[in-house]
Amino acid sequence: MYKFPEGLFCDVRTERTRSSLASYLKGELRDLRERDTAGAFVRVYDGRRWYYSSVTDLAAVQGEIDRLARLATPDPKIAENRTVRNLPSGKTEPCLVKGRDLRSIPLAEKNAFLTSFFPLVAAEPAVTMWSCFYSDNFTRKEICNSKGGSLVLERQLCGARFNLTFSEGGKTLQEGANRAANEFADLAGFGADLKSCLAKSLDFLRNSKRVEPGKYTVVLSPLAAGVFAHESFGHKSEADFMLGDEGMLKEWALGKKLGPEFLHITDDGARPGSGFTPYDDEGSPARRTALIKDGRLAGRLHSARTAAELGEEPTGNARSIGFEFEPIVRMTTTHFEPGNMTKEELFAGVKDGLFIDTIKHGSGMSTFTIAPSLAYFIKDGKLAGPAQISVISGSVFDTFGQIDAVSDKVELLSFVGGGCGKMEQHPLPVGFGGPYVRVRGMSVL
Amino acid sequence: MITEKYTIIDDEVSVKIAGSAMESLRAKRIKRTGLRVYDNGLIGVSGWMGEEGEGEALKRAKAALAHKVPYPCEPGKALKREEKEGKALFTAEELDAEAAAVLAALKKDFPQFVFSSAGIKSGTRTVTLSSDAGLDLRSSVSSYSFGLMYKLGTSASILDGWFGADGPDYDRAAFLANASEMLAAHLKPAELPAGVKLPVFFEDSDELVRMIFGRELSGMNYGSGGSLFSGKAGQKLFSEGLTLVNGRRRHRQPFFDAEGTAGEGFAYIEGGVLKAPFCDKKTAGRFGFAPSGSAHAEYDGAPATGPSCAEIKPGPKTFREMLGGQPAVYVSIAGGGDFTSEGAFGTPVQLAFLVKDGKLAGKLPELQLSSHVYDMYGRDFLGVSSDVMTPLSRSRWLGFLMNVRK
Repeated sequence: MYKFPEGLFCDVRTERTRSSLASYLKGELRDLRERDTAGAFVRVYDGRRWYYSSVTDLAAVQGEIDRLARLATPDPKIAENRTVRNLPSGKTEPCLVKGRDLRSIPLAEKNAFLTSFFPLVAAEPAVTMWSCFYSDNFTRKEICNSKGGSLVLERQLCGARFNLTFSEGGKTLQEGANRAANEFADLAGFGADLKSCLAKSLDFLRNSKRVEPGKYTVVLSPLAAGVFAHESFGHKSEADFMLGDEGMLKEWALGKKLGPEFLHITDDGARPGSGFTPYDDEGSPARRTALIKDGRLAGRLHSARTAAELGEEPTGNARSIGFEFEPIVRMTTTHFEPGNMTKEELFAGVKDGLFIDTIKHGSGMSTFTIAPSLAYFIKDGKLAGPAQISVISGSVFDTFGQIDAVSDKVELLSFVGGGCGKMEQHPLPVGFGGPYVRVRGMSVL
Repeated sequence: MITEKYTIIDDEVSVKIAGSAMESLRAKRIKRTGLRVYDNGLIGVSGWMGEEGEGEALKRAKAALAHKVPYPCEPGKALKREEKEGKALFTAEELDAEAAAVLAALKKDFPQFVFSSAGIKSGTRTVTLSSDAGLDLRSSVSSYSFGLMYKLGTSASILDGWFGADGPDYDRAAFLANASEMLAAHLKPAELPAGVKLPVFFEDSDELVRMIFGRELSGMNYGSGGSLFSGKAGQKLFSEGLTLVNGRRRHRQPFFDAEGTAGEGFAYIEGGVLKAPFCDKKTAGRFGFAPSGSAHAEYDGAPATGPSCAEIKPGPKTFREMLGGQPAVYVSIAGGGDFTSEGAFGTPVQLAFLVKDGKLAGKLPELQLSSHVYDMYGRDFLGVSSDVMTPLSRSRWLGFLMNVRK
């Protein structure tokens, strides 16, 4: 047990991780390994400033607590500090992995799973380059603090990804298949994902036509809608961006009308998948936070500190990418909720538009962007051939008002090999997805 | 059997500013070590973090040879070299004090803005690669970055702009002068100059406009025929002014890559002629290329082709000479753009400034840019300036003629 200094808040997050990797390039083994790491992140807070240290020597933690305490200014009333009051106290029931522990699965079995898909890829001559990997990690975190708070949390995620380069007749295309899950058994559908990816990519390679830049009605797939929700709105709901910023707080005041009444966006750390965060890295439990409800701003994502500053409740969104970094406000699984019509009705309402199926990347500031990979023309409500698009973009402030349809089923997606970036912390696993979303008047390049 | 040790030590202090207030001070020292064993064309790797673990890692690395990961290349040997780059400019206390002083000055002169940190760090990365075959390479790169994001207090955006310094030296007055020029320009709306095709400038380190080379010149992609440039080595595809080389120092990387190849200056494109892709030893051997010093490896992983660390060689003209008295667009923030698989380029620009007489003259409205790789780096390539953008910057001005619309 640690000896915590008087007059200061202090917590220690210890992380022990076992990860596995099998990696191939064009069918040739590049890496096959298991890795064990351990480290700790120490925080000391004096009510004004935070002092952090990250170490790989777990025996050095007490020394780091003492060192950081010497930098801080003790406050006898630290327990009354609003941020400190928001941090957990008391022992929390351990939150352990309940299914098959990924550490118990032999590396050979994971490798065999990955290589079972090789014949499918190797049989397609247009695939001129490909790489793939299986990766997983199992992390056990122990968080304890000077309020007597303690928590043991386990989390695991596994997944496979194929990156494919297609070349034919002087044309090239890069596309991929990617699936992740908390249970190894839940990767079983990956073969179907890969087959679908191959078929759609070949069609795109052979038949795609360049889109004339302009304004279009755009239908976003669950993947694209998820990225749209994440980039265009999710980051603006992270409350650390609002501290000391009256303009932001005024513009993003709760209750403000943003879109139609059937528009709802939620962040939920309890959802299984790559965003699964039942407790955050301060030890606060996940909440299902309605960010937009009935078209109006309804909530924000918080750490203990941002909740204290804004007079709201912590939401369990203080996350870090690992023991080298402090927790900051991040999303977990962010998605549109089901909407006002079926997918078929949604497409039927488009006379001349575009469907964004898969994407390369997205970003969001005042203008959000999505770089589509596989996209299609829509003519009279039907898909009418693949379309090459550099980027779609729109004003964050205007685009929600241009959403005129959301389909009635939600599809959540999980990935390995990437994630969300914020400041220096990248990649953080998050969950995406949603229903199909139709937006009028989007700018297309 | 050859045994190789690869060690990476990161010593870093950082300061965080949020909402125009000092928020935190962080220190970390992380040591990662990997052991690689090479035997009969195979490689086995394992590693550990911290100080203890070499004995067990060696056993695991030898056992990993059973996985039969091929490495049909010659490991580095009989080479000794050490380089130290840069100097550690700040201790934790000095960085904290400097950030506080800069923040106080900015808050006084520009109270209408809210400031937060975009990376205020100082530290040293030490990388060593040694082996029982006589390889002994040691690199120590010390650097700092002093980046601040800003937004108007009345703005609903997360950020409106940023400025920073990461040059070999630091000077508060020069930093504040650069910040003042940008913040003053931000407050002054400007009109886009007339014309569809305009001179547009980026930082030469901006990945957005160079990402096509990172994608299409990757050795495996190029050698397999999947690249836009496959089979075109020796052809003059671009402007004579375009020379693209391995610039590891510019990227503050060790002078050697993860296989011990020193690739500084390796030419990918020279005088507009495509010369070679970038690759590690294994990819090079497979296709008959030369290793470019672009191998990357995790501390406990096998080497593979990593980033190109590409740098466009500066031209003979200063920025002012490139402008020739004409106004131009400087793109400060453009996120989300991309090249299509056929080379077409498009991007929204979230923050751009009008440049007149080499100075930021005002903030332009949000823009859309479009072009094509063969135009941008061909007839519309303006080059890279001979001078750096600011006295504290490593970046130079990279210019193109591009289609610009509001």
